[in-house]
Amino acid sequence: MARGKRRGGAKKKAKRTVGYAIAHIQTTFNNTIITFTDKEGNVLTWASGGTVGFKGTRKSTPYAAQLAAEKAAKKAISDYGVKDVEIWIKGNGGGRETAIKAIAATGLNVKVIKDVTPIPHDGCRPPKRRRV
Amino acid sequence: MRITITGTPGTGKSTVAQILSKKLSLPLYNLSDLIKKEKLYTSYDEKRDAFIVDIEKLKEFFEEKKDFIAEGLIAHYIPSDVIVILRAKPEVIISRLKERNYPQEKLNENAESERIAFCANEVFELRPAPVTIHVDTSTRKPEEVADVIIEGIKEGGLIEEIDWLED
Ligand SMILES: Nc1ncnc2c1ncn2[C@@H]1O[C@H](COP(=O)(O)OP(=O)(O)O)[C@@H](O)[C@H]1O
Ligand SMILES: [Mg+2]
Repeated sequence: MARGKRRGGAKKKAKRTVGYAIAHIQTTFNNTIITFTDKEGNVLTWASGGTVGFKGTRKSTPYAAQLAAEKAAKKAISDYGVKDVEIWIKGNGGGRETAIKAIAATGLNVKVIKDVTPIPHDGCRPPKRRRV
Repeated sequence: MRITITGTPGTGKSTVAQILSKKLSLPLYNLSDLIKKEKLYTSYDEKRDAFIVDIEKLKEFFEEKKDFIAEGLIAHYIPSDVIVILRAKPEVIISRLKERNYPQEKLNENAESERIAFCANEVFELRPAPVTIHVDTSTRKPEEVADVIIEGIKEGGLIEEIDWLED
């Protein structure tokens, strides 16, 4: 979703203001991706362990999750004027807590944190695990 | 040898487990069937039309067994010698599950749990076996997947880098 940079004084298209956004965090054992959307689910901006410059196993570190969350949150604030966010989190990867903290630390007002982790199931499913 | 095979529905656990069971002459347990037959569940999830597995009872069932292949999406809760995690691209999961006539929601939730590597996350957290094999089945035939697993066992482990988040 890289956007071509314009040069030579071409006017940047004005972006709309989205005061209230949803920050979707998806975490796995090897990466974290943070996507900001409006309430209808339209993507505003996103960042991941990969887009903040990490490769291979380093994408899985809490530090990569922190940088990705910061990058997406800062862009949501500067480009769309986001002030309030809901955090919807999917997955039990290592970047979970750091990404939440990093979003809150940018000054965004975190209204709700919802766990929306999908559960694999056929005729059976695992029980919900207690998180510590 | 105790081999457990986990992964999202549609990754090909049952198919590859049958091949391995023949090649390695190990008795095979399909955990979804076993859990229903032996009532190894605590309750029933109406919304998902799925029994919620009783992990303690499941572990007890395998406690004394020394040679088996057990395959199912909670196989990684059973201590074993080799844990195999099968993966497949989320869209491949959906197409492979088409013939089961699952409701769309069930297809989507399974594809999403594959996207966030639900089973793999648990394996890398629980570390249920000394040997871990993590394989992408998206473009491999079941026989090839079986060969990769056997090779991985010989090598003492095989972890492919698989990440659907940035696809
Ligand atoms: N490696 C593979 N390549 C293509 N199709 C496969 C592969 N493994 C399994 N399948 C097909 O995908 C479907 C689901 O496979 P199955 O073994 O039942 O998965 P699981 O037990 O993990 O839910 C079946 O129709 C099967 O024939
Ligand atoms: Mg099966």
